[in-house]
Amino acid sequence: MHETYGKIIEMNEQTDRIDILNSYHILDSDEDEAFDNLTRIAAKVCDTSISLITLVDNDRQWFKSHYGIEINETSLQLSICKSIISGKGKCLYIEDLEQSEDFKNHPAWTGLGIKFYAGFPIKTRQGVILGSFCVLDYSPKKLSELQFEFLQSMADQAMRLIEGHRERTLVKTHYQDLKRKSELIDRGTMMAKLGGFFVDTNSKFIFWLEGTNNIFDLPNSYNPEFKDLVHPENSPELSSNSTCLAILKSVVDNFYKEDFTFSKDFDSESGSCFQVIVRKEGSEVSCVIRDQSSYRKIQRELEKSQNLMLEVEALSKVGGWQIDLKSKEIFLTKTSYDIFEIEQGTPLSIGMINHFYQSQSLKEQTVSFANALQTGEGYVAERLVTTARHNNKWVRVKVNPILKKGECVRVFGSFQDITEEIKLRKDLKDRREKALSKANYFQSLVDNQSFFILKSDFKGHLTFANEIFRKRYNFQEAPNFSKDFNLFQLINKMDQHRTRVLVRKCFNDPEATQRIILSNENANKESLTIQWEIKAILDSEGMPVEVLYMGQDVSELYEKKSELQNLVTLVSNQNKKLVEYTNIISHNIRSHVANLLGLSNLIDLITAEKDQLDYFMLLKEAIQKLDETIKELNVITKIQQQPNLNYELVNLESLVEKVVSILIGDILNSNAKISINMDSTIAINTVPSYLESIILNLISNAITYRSPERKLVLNISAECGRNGKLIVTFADNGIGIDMEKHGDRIFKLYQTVSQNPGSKGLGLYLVKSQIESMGGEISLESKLGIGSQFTLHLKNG
Amino acid sequence: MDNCKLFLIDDDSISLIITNKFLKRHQGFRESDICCYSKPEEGLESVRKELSDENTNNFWILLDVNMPIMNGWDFLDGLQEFNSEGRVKVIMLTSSINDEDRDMAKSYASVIGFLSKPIDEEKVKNVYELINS
Repeated sequence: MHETYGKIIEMNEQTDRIDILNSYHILDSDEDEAFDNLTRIAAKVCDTSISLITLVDNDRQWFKSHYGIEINETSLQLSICKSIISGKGKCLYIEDLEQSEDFKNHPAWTGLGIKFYAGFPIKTRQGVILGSFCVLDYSPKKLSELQFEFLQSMADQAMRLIEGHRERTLVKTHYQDLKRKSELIDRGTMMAKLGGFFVDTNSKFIFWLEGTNNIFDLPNSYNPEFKDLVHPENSPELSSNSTCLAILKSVVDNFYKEDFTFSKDFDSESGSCFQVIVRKEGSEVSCVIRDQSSYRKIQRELEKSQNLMLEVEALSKVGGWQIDLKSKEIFLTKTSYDIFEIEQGTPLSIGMINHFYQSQSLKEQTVSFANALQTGEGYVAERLVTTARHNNKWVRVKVNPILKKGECVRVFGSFQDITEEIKLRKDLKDRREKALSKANYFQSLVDNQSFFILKSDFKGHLTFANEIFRKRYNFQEAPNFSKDFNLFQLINKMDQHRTRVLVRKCFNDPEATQRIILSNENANKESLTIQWEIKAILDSEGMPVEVLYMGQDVSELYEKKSELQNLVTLVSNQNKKLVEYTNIISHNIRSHVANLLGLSNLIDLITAEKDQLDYFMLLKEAIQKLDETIKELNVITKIQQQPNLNYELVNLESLVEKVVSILIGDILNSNAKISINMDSTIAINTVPSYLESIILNLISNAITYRSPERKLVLNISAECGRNGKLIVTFADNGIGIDMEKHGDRIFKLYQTVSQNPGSKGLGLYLVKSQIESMGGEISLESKLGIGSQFTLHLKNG
Repeated sequence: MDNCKLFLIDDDSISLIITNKFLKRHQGFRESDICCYSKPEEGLESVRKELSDENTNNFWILLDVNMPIMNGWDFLDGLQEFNSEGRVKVIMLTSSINDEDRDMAKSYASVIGFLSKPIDEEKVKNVYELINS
């Protein structure tokens, strides 16, 4: 062997050796009393200072035991033992290093002063030298035979110890391994909610997983014995959990059966769920218990939500579909199958699906689908399909293409049965059309041109007015049917109350129609007379909610009516006149005629000439009277028949003075006093001849019917009255008239009220006729014995 | 005017003459039986005087309808006040051909007849019969 310091070159041999050395796990191990005993005894027996058990590593020598020195390793440089390694099992005995040819330069001598060395190899049963057992001293020595033998056995002993150490280490490691494994198992099983056990029925060995305690809520670190397992009901811990008990019982029942493997699910009342797997091989029984509660819970939730989804799907009749364009696989949900009335799970192809579309829809669908795949844009469409059972349905198809890197790989979407919806849509459209045409029809009724139609609430707030009403009342646009605008405002104040009362009646008696005729002016100051029918509008429960007014313009009718009335008045006046004429004829003319007849009868009977002459005189008189009457009648008739009177503007005062001058003779004869009190500028548009005649008659009357007891005083006055009328009064202090007796006859024809021979009963009648034909009036106040006052109301033009 | 059997009341003088003449030509009537009044108020007053005298027999009035101030009806109204026993009977005499006058006459209890002017022999006979019935 070549002496080298530092590393040993012959690698293979050495490398194997190092491995073997390492396999003993002796290097760097703790101090061991057993080893130290050997070195101590060796030092004593050989009487050396130092004794070592050296193990030679590849770069150092390490002392398992060192007696006599404090260090526990040195470099290989200092090592003498290393020589033993290559010494093929021979010991190395150097009495004096200084004197040894091989070792005189060894650092152990040169550096440390070691003179004596004796080392015996420590070798394995296979002969691999691990190190040496050696003694050393600082002075040279000789060893006896006995000491050699001793050292040899020491070396052997050291090897034994090393082997023992290894065993122990291995066991320890094993044990630690096992322990760690066991811990890992425990932790793992706990995390996985696993429990279980292993038993050997022969040896009654039981290995109980900690996880079991966890899943059954048994006390931590509880470890049952075999007998507890076999009779779990006797163990308070095991029987604390009923499920645990049940599981164990069922497993234990099988302990002595044939070999088997089974898996079973146990559900506890609390909702927990355990899966139990048991395997029996010979006497060995392994049992794994898995708490599947949460898993089961999740499963159930999933089931529930799946069911819900199915139900929702079915209810909404929406089914899903998906096409994988690469694999051409089509997937349909249950509802989709139902929509097309195919058995669920039937294998499908695109062609099959297309087959369902009706021709027009198929065309459209093909185009849209291709487009969608191109552009990646989805769409919704309504298609007509024929199902597998030959039913026609409307289906809403949604298509969503999924693009990956610009290429469409998958399309998904939905089918929805919208047959009902389409039907309803059509129904609705039909109804709308019907309603619309009805509405148009009613609208045309409402917007007729003959009737006013209004609606208001019961307070009079207008809610509707038809076109014709708005036009007539000049609402250019619909007025603000605001709270402020009240229908009653359009009505005359006088009629408002009546109208309100009627509206109230409508509310109280919703079945009855109320009627009222109202006249008022519209915006153009045209007078309108409208006949209204007012009725309550009921809601669906029969309660009155609004008022309906329907009005018909009867203005024309009313005009005609008043025209008619005028006509009637006229006719009745004429009638009265006729009656008067009849009276005249029947009385006045007739009386003269009767007299004539009577006289003529008498004349037949009278023979004496003188008498005859008398009678002729009487006859003459009668004839004259008749003639006069007829003339008077003529005058009166003329007055009545005058349609066009010639009106002129006449100064009143001058006219009166003119008449006075005509009657001046009578006035002076009667010593009457006539005073004229009027504004000299008063002029009246009148028929001059009539007015003259009237004034003449009245003044004559006053003179004729003056009181014999006093001088006649006649006051003629005039003043302008309301509405452009002229009021002229003739007040005298004559004999007066008994108004009670004769008041109603005073102006009548031939109704004289005095015995005065001048009174024929014609004058005042004439006056009245003349005044009335000019549109005026005359009235009389009189007191018997005091005087009379005639009041004329004359229209001015 | 004692014991006038027949009063003639008419404002028309000619009419009075005619009626008077015709009556006198009838034998039944004497001139003293007849009293003429052209003013009905005076006539009424005379009638009243006659009636107040209990000794007088019944008597009659030929009454014109159309008179000024007091016409035939006014006269009748006045007569009613003192003719409750019905001792005076009235025959209306009128030139009127108006039916209304006839109806009006019927409403007076004292009116026993209605004649239209002019009176003639025939009508006088009627008067006589009426009076003597």
